[in-house]
Amino acid sequence: MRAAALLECVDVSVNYGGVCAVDRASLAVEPGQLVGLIGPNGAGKTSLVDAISGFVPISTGRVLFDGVDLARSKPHQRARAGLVRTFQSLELFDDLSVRDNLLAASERPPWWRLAGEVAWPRLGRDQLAEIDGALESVGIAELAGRSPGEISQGQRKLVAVARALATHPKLLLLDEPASGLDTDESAELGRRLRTLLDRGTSMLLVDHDMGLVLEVCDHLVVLDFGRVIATGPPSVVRGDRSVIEAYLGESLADTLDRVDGDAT
Amino acid sequence: MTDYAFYLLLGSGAGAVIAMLGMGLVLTYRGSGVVNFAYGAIATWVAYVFYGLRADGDYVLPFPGLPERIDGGDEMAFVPAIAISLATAAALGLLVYAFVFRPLRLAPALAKVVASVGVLVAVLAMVQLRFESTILSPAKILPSEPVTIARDLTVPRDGFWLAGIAITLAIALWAVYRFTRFGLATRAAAEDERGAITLGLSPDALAALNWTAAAVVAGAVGILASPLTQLSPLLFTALYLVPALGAALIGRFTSFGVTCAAGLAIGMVQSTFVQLQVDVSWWPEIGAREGLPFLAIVGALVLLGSRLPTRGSIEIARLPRAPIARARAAELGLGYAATVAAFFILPGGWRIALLTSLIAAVLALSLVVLTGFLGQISLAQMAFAGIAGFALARFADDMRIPFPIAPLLAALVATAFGLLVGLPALRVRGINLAIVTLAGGVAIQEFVFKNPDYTGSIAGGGVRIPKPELFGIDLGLTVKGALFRPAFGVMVTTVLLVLVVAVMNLRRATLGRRMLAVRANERAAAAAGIDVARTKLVAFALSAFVAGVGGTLIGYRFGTISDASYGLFASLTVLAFAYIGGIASVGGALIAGAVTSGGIFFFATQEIVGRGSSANLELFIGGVALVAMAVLNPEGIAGALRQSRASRFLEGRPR
Ligand SMILES: Nc1ncnc2c1ncn2[C@@H]1O[C@H](COP(=O)(O)OP(=O)(O)OP(=O)(O)O)[C@@H](O)[C@H]1O
Ligand SMILES: [Mg+2]
Repeated sequence: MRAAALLECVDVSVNYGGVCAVDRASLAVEPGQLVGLIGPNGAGKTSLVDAISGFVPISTGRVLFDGVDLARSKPHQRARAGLVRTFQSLELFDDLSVRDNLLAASERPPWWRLAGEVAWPRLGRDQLAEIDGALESVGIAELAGRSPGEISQGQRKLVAVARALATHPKLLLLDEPASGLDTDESAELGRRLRTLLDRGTSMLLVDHDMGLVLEVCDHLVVLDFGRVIATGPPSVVRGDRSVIEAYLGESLADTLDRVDGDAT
Repeated sequence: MTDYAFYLLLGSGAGAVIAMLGMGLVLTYRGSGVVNFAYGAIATWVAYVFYGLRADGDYVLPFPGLPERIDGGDEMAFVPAIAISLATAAALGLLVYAFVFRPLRLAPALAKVVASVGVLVAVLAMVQLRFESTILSPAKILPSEPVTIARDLTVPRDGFWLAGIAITLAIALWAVYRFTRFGLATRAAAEDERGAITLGLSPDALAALNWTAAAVVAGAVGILASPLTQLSPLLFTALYLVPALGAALIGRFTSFGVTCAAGLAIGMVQSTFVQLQVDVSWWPEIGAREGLPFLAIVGALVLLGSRLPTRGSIEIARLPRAPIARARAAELGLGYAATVAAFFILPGGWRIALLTSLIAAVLALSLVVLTGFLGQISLAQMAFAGIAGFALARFADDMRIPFPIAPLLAALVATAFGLLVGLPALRVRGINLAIVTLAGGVAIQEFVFKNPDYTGSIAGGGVRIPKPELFGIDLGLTVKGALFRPAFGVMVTTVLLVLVVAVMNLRRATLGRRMLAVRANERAAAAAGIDVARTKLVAFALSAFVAGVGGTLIGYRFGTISDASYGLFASLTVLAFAYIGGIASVGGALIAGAVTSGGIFFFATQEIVGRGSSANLELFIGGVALVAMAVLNPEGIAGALRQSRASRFLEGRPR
């Protein structure tokens, strides 16, 4: 038997009314792997992430995390089990400072501590150090005291990643974390993701930035019209005919040219 | 069986009233996306205007400062009186839309709910200002002589008339919406406002027309239905609005036909409860009537869930900010000392006003937790307070449990009810939750507060609350001969201080962060591992606990409490003043207490200006101020103060 995958989706489908957004898609993420999930607009990437994280019901198939079938667990239970996601659209907690955004996600005190805090609220030194560590790992430690309203779009994306990291995920599902970042920032994020990987967080990365995806991922899964049309290492997938065809509408040729241009 | 047939038929009148109000609510919602909690109040106002015209020919004006009434000589004839009354209804609907809900088109649901509560409070306060005797018995309009249906089945016929009118209205509305250009345009606008604009239709004009039509329906209901029972200010809000909301929900705020049928059914089934009480030994004597619409509402919401239609419009405004209060111990200590000192120094009237303010601040704090931090609304706070009040009577008077323990236990009972009303909050939010809490509050009111087993006989004036006593020190407000004792004020101030510190801590604690996370975005909160359901329940529980503490303070203050001590209207005014003060901060709750009706602000104004204002005028001002706040400044007075401090700071001027 092969080594158990951390995340395993088997024949997962997602339907919205009559629309079949994901059609019997299967994928696996091994521990320590960074898997890229790519596909043209509307391919069903977000829907698949929603299904894995429990935000939409699946109509067929199974999602296994750490060998456990997730069918019965709610989104917050999945997050607590170490399966944490970010959103494509910005979903920060507006009224909380950046630090409090991370705290809200990281804290898991027992109920008696929760009650005790109403009499005497205090934060442990180690708790704060942990938050600062999570911010540092995406390079925004200096934003801790700011409010989400005051920082740039790109910075907010990074806060969302840091917030997910603050929960100590085993597997991080990142839905377009680099949108809103410029090329340099995006490359920087890529390096940081690799560092996190070395520290033991596995990842599933959804992004349209081909440069980023081809550069950092160990393995790629390509979706089109809800179906998996190709899987494999980046070097293989980028030459795959069906992938090139799926992307033709978005002129993959250009994208590839640009990537090649960047590389040289 | 004929008994049940009799009561079913007898209920057709009430059913028709519910059905027509329900259809009016649907009309308003389809036209503008507003669930109008003030809808019953419009019916009320028109009913009173009509009564005034018919009884002594006076047309009553609702504007403070202007002449109260235009003397029209003798009693007015039926037809002109109806015409003038319905014109009044139309004008009222148009005014409310133009000045309140048009500016709030893009506001979040919370602001709309709050604004309609403001309208409701203002209109009801105005009724009480303008009519000395508010309980009236209007003459019958519809023919009411009995009609014999079967051999031993004879019922008055006005119910049938009303039912006929309701069904005709349903058919007419359906046809208008189905076949006319106006109806089609309204439907298009409800689907997508931007789409309607590109079609060359003004969603605004459509909304205004729908509001006017709905208000005329309300007016007609008010006139036709008030002879069925006695007319009183809360009649249409307490008795009919909740079931009408239930009927509208069953009709998914879309279908006139379903709403009409549901309304008729609710009214008729409610009517059979009289007989059920006789036949079924365990059938509750009181409250089942109000329990039915509550169950209908919760059932409709849980079954239909999120499938209720939402409007294709964009919400831009956001909820009021919930800043971290950084009060230092010294500031709190100073405030505490000053308040305590005031109880020793100030004369009696001031002390009472101060007490009113402090207790109102406690109730406002309960909403800071629920609405400010969690972003969920409750129209049932006074019901929670009342539960604690009556529980306190049990614990302290019957069971002789001593002072600090009895009120704490009583507040815990309120907490349990808070959890019960909060349970639907796991499935529904926003406007729908406001409806659930309103219905839950009314159900508690009728089921518990009107039951002499819990709340004493009306003849006895309610139940007695023994004076609080701690370590042999009497903390009561009045002791033989001594009125307005400062000891009581010190006790209330201390309780408020403890709650203020607790709520400030809550904002900085894990629980508070979770609540604000849920308020900002439930999906993202769940993705961050926050148990949204549990967080909501905890907030409901804490909020009901704080409201419960407020309820026990009310009990100690008056010494005797009855169902009137914790009325539905009071629940609404608590929300009103909490929002005016600033719903999302502790400072806002303290301001809410200060400006509350009968509180320190109005009392001081009265002392300084030298002219008394009546409680009703203050409530009217409160209602109008609430609307103004919702429209102009959702952050309340506390937010305005913060902003001016912040802007002064930014401009570099020292403060
Ligand atoms: N809530 C929804 N209801 C109905 N259809 C939906 C919903 N969400 C997504 N869809 C449809 O499902 C399909 C897949 O959408 P999805 O958002 O998963 O794609 P995506 O790959 O994430 O696209 P993008 O790259 O633009 O983010 C699309 O056709 C979309 O229109
Ligand atoms: Mg997407």
